[in-house]
Amino acid sequence: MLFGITGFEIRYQLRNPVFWVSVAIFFLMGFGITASENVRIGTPGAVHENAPYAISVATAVFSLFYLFVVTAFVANAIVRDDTSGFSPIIRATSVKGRDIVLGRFLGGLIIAWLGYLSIPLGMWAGSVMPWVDPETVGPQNFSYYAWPFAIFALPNIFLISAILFALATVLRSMMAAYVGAITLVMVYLVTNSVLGQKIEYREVMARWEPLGNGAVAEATRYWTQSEMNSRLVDLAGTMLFNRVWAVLLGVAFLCITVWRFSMTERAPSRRRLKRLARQQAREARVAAVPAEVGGENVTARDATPSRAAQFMTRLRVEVRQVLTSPGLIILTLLAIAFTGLTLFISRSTYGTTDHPTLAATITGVQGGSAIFLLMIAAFYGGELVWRERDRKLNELIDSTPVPSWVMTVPKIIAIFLVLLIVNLAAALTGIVYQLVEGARVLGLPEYLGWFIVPAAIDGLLIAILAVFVQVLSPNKYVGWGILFVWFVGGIFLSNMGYSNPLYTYGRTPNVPLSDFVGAGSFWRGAAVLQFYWLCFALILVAAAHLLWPRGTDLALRSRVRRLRSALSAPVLGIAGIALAAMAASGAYAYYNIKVLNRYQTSDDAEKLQADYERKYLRFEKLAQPSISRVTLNVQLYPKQRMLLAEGSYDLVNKTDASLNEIHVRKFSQDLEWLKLDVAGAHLASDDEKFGYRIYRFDAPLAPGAATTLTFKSRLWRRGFKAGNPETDVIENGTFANNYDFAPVIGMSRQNLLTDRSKRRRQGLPAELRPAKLEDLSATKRNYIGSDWVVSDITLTTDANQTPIAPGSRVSDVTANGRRTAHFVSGAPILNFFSIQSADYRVASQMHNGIRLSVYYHDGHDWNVSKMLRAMGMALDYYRAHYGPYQFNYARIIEFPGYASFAQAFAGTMPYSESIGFNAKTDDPEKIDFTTYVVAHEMSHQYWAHQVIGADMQGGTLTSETLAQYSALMVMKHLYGPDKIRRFLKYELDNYLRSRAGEAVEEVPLERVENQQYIHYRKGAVAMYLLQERLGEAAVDRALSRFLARFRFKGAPYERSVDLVGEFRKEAKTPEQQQLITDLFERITLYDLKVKDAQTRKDATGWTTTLTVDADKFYASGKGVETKAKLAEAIELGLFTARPGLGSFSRKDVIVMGQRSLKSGEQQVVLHSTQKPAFAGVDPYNFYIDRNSDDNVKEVTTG
Amino acid sequence: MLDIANLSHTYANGTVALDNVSLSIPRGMYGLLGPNGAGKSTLMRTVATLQQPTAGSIKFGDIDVLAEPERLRKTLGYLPQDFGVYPRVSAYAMLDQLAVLKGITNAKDRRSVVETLLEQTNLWAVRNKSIAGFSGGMRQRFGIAQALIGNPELIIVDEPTAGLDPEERNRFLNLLAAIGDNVVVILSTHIVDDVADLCPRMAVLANGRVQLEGKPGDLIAATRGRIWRKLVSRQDLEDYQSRHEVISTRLFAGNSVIHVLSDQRPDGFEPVEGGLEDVYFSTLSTLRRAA
Repeated sequence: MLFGITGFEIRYQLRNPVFWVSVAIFFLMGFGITASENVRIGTPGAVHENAPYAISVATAVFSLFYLFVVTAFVANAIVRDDTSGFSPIIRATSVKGRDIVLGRFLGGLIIAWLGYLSIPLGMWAGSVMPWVDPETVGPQNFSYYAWPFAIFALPNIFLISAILFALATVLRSMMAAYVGAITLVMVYLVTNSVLGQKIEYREVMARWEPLGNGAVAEATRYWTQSEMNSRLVDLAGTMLFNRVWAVLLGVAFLCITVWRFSMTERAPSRRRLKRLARQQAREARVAAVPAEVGGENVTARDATPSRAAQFMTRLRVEVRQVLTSPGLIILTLLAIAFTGLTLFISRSTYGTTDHPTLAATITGVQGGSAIFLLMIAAFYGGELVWRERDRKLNELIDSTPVPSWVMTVPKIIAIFLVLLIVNLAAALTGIVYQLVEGARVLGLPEYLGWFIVPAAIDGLLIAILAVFVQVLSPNKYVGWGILFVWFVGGIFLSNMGYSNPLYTYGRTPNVPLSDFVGAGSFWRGAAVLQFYWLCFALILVAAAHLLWPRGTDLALRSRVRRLRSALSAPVLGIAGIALAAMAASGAYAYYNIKVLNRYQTSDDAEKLQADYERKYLRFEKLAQPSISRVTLNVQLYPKQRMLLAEGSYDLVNKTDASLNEIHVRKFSQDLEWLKLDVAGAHLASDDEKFGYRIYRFDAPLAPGAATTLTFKSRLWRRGFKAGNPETDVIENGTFANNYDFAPVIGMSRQNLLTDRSKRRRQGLPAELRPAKLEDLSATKRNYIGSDWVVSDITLTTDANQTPIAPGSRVSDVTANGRRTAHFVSGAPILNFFSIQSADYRVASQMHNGIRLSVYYHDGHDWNVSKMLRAMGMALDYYRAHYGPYQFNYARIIEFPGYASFAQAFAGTMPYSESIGFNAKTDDPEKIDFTTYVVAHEMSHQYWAHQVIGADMQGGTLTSETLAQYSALMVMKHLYGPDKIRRFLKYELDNYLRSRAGEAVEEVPLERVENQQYIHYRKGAVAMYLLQERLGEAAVDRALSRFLARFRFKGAPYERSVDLVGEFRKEAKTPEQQQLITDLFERITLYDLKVKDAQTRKDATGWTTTLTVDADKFYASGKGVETKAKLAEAIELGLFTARPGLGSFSRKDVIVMGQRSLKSGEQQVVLHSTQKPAFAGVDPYNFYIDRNSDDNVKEVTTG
Repeated sequence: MLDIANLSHTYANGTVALDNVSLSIPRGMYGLLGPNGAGKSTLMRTVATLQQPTAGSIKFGDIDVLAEPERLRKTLGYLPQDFGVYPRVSAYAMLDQLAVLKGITNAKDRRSVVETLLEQTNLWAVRNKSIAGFSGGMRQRFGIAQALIGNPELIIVDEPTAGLDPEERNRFLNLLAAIGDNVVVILSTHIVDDVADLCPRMAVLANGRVQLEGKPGDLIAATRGRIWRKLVSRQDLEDYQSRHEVISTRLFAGNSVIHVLSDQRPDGFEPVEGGLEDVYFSTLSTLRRAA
C-alpha cells in the first residue's frame, strides 16, 4: 500500500508544471555557475568551474533555496486533499493514515531529489559549453558530482522536506507552509550572517548548522587550490557529525508529522464557535435592512462616457485584490528584510560599520530591493492576468461590453502600485538604517529623486513586460518561464558584452551616486533611456489590449485573427505616437552613446587591447628619454565636464646611447590632442586607433642631450555612455590623474589585458610575468613607469571649488568667477599624480613645521580630526626612524565614492568618500582602519615616493610591504603591542584565503609579482615577526640605511634583495639569518596549536600545563608542502581574556614568554600567580600559521 | 429575433462541436435540450460572443453578432454553465461591479438595480457574504441576478439547474419564468422538465446538430399513438431491448417500466400519453440506432 501511494505521488508530481519549471530554474542556476566566468559562489579564482569543491559548495548552498520548491511538492501532498475536496473519499478508504503520510512523503521526497539532480546536471552541462575556457575546467569525474549530491543534497533535501511536511501537516494550508518556508530561509540567513562571522561560533556552526555549509567551510578552510580541484570532502569528524545530525533532525520532524497527522476533520474551537455566533447576529441585523427597489426599470446604456467609471471600478477591484492578497505582506517583508540585511550586514574592508552617507545608503537600498521588484512584478503579472480565468470569472466579465484596455491597464497599475509599496518599504528601511546609525540628514527628496522615481519606472517597465508576456503565454508557468529566460538572458548577454541599453529592454545607463554631486548629470542618460523604453512599453500595452485573452477561444491564432477587427484609430494613434517618440528618443540616445561617446561590446574592447599588445608591447624595453621637469596649466570647467590642459616636458637622454625615436601615448581614448610637438623631432607615425604616436628625431638625441615636448589636450565628457559613465571630470569632485590628460612617454604594460582566460581567448600568453629578480637589465625602469621630475602645475577651476595639485601652493587667486592655484614641487616627485577640484571644506594644522590638511565634503567630518592626528603621528614616527620628509605639506583629499581606495601621490593622498571618510572607527573592539590607512598612505611618501622598486619580481616589496609595516608600527605605538593581534590576524587570514586562489604561482616575498595577498597581507605578518625577533630598532636602522642609499635615485632602481641585504646586516644569530630566509626567500607555513591546557593551584600560585602541537612546512609555488624541522623560540602565554577579541589589552596578560619549540607534540609548563582563563602558543599570531584559530584554548582546571 | 444560420464549429483538436446549426429563436423562453457534450455550451458561448465559430452567421435583430460583438454585449445577459468569483468579495460588491461593467455608471441607478435584483433573487439577506461561501442554489440565483442587470434583450442561461435540489430548482425556474415575454431567453439544459415547465418553443441538439425544433405541444402531439408502456421484470429487460425500440426505462418498485416507440401496439403493451421526455428520448434513441 505504502509503495502504491508513493508511486502515485511520483507520477502525480511528474505531471505537475511546478516540477518542470523548478527543474528548469535550478538547471539554469547550475549551468550559469559553470558556463559563466563571472558567476561564482564562494570559490576562489583559479579553482576549476567543475572542481569537486565548487560542486560541493553549490550543492550545499542551493539546497536552501530549493526549500521553496520542496514546499510545492511536499506541502502540496498533505493539503491537496483538503483543498481539492477529495479528502472525504480518501478518509473513507481503508488506507491507514500512517501509510498515506509516509507514502506521500516518500513520493514527494523522491521527486524533490530527482528535481535537484538538475543542479549537478546543469553544472556539468555548463562546464562542457564550447565557450568555456578549457583552462578553467578540470577533468570530468562522475564522483565529483555524485559524492556532493550524496552527502549534501540527499540529507539536506530529506531534512527540509521533513520540516515542511510537518509544517503543512500542523498548519494545513499551502500559504502557511510558504510563510513557514520563507521564515525558515530568513532565520537561516540572518543566523548565519550574524553568527557565521564570529570566529568563536565557527566550530558550533560547523557542527549544528543543518545544511552543512558551515561544515564544508570548516572542512575545507585551508585547502589549497589543487585540493579544491581534486579532493572530495571527507565524511568524517565534524562533517560526519553534521550530516548525521541533519538526518536525525529530519527523522524527528517526520515523527512529529506522523503523530500529528489526523484523518478526521477538526471540530471547531470554542473561539471559532463564538465568532460564528457573532457573525450570525450581524447577518440578522443586515437582513433586516430593506432593499431599495425600482431598479427593474433601469436599462443598461453602455456608452463611451461609461469608460472612466468602468476603468475606475476595475482599478479598485484590482488594487483591492492585490492589497488584500496574502502574498504581498510576505514579499514586502522579504524585501524589507533583504534590504535591511544589505544595509546592516554590509561591512567595509576591516569589519567596521559605516556612517550612513546618503549616497551609500540609497545605493544599498537600490541593491537590496532590486531583485524583489523584479520577482514581485513577475509574480503579480502572472497572478493578475490569469486571475479571472483561474477564478472562472472570465465568461461573466468577457461578455460585458467593456473594451479590453479597461481590463489590461488597471492590472498594470495594480502591479505598479505593489512595486511602489515595496519601493517605499525599502526606502523606509533605508531611513530606519540612517536613524539607527545616526545620520545627520535623512534626505527625503534624494530618496524620491535617486531611488523611488527611477526604481518605480523600472518596476513599471517590468510590470508591463510581465503583463504582456502573460497575455501571450498559454499558461502562467510558461509566462513566468519566459520572464525568467528574459532575466537570465539579459545577464548572459551582458556577460557576453551585449549590454547596449538601446536593444536591451528596460536597461539604462548606470547612475552612480555620491554625496558630492548626487546623481550629477548621470541621471539624464538613464531618464532618456527610461523614456525610450516606456514608449516601447506603451506599444506593448497596446498589443496587450489588442491580444487580450477574451472569451473562451484563446488560441493565439484566433486572437490574431480577431486583431484586425479590434484595431481602432485611438489604439493605432497611441501606438503610432509611442513609436515616433521611441524613434526620436532612440536617435537622441544613439547620438549620445555612439557618436558623442564610444560604445564597444566587451568582445571588441578585449580584441582592441589584445591587438594593442601584439602591435606595441615589443617597444616595452625601447630606451626613451626621461622626463625631468613637468609644467602644466590645466583649465577645468566642472559644469561642462571639460578639462583643457596645456603643458611641456623637459626631456633628457639619460641612457648611454643616442635615441632615434620618442614614443608618445595617450591612455584615454576620449582624449584629444589639440597640439603635440617634440622639439627637434617630427611625427613619424600616428596610430589614432591606439593613440600611439612615434616621433623621429631629426638628429639622434645624444646621451645627456635635452629636448622639450609641448602639448595641448582636451578631455570632454559629453552626453552619456551606454553603461558606466566616466566619473573623473564631474560637476563637483573632479579626480583625474595626469595619465588621463597628459602624454605618456614609452610603452608599458599598463592598460593591457590581464584576465588569464581573456588573454588565452585572444591568443596571447596566459600571463605576462615580470622580469626575474636576477635580470639586472630590468633595473633600468621602475615598476610605476614614471621618472623623478620637478613639477610646476597651475590649476584653474570655478570660483566655488578648491583646486588641488601636488606641490607647495605658491599662489591662489580668484578672478572673474575662476580660481587659479599654482603649485611647485620642492622635491622630486614621480610623474604620476592627480589633480582634484571640488567645493571642499578644509581642516588644517601646522605640525612640527609641516602643514597638514584634510579637504572634505561638507558634512563628512566624522574622521577628519582623526586623520589629522594620524598624519601627524605617522610623520613623527617616520621622520624619527627612517629619515627626512621631502615636503612642507601633506594633504588628504576626499573624492567621490565611485571607487573605494586611498592612494598616495606626492604629498597628496586622495581618499574615497566610501572608505575611511565614512567609517566608524571609534569602536574599541574594531580595527581603527582610518588611522591604519592614513599611516599606510603617509608612509608611501617614503616607500614609493622616495625609493621605488625596479620593474621586476619583488618590485612592490619596498613600497607596499614597507608601507604595511610602517603603518603597523604606528598602530603598535598608538594602541600597544597587545592589541596588534587583530591586525595580524586579519592580514594572516586574508593571506591564507587568497593563496588558495593563486592562478599562476605563489612566490616568496622577495619575488612578489604585484600579488596583493603577498605584498600586503603576508608582508605585514612577515615584517612584524622580523621586528619581534631582530628588534624594532634594528629593522629601523636597516630601513633608514636602505632609504639613504636609494633616495630619489633613478636607474638602476633598487631591488628587493637590496632591502633583504640590509636586514641580514642586522641579523646577529644563525636563527635570525634562517628566519630572514624563511620569511623572504621561501614560502614557509607553521602549524601551532594548543591541544590541551590544564591548570592546578599549588602553594606558589597556578601551574598550567600546555600540550602543544607544532609543525613547520615549506610550500612550493603550487601549494605542495614538505615538512621542515622546527626549532624556534616561540611565545607562549596565559590570559584572562581571549587575545584579539573584544577589548583585549595589556591587563589581560598574565604571563607571556618565549619557549623553544620543536616539531611534534610537546608539553610546556607555565607558572602564574593569577588563575588563567586562556592559554596560547603564538597567541598574537606572529607566525604564518595554517590554522590560527587553534592557537588559544580555554584552560580547564585539573 | 435571434437568427442562427449554418453555424459550424470545429475545435483545434478536431472535435466537431457544431455542425451546420440553424435556428430561429423568437422572443420568449426558448429551450435548448441536449445530452452532455451535444454542443450546447459551444453554441451558447458563440452566441454570447465568447468565441468565434468556424463558419456561419448569427444575427440578433439588426446586430451581426460575429462582426459587432460589442453591440450585442450591450444588451446581453449571460449566465455561464460554471462560474467563479473573486475571493473575499461579497455578493453586493460583485453585482455592483458587474453593473458598472455593463454600463450602469450612474451610482444612484446602479444602487437601485443591484438592490432590486438582490431582493428579487432572494439574496438580500446574504448580500454582504462572500459568494465563495454560497450554496449551489444561491450561487445560481446570483448568476441570474447578474444576467438580468440592465434589462438585456437577450438572456442566455447555460445549464442553470444542474446540481440543484428540487426546491432550489423550482425557485430558480420561477425566477426565469418572471423574466417576461418580450426578451429572448435561451435556456440550455439536459433536464427535460426544465424545458417542459417553461418553454413555449424548443430545440433538441445532439451530436452538434439540431435534431428537432418546434413547440413542445406539437412535438408531443407527433408522438401520439406511437408510445407504448409495459412493466417488465429486470431480467427480461435485455430481451425487450433487443426486440423493441426502447426509448426509456425507469425502475418502479423493483421492476422496470419501459417505453417503446412503435407505430403498432406491441404485445402486452398499453398505450401511454407521451410526454416531452418521450419525445426527447425517442430522438436520442433514433440517433443511437443510426450510429
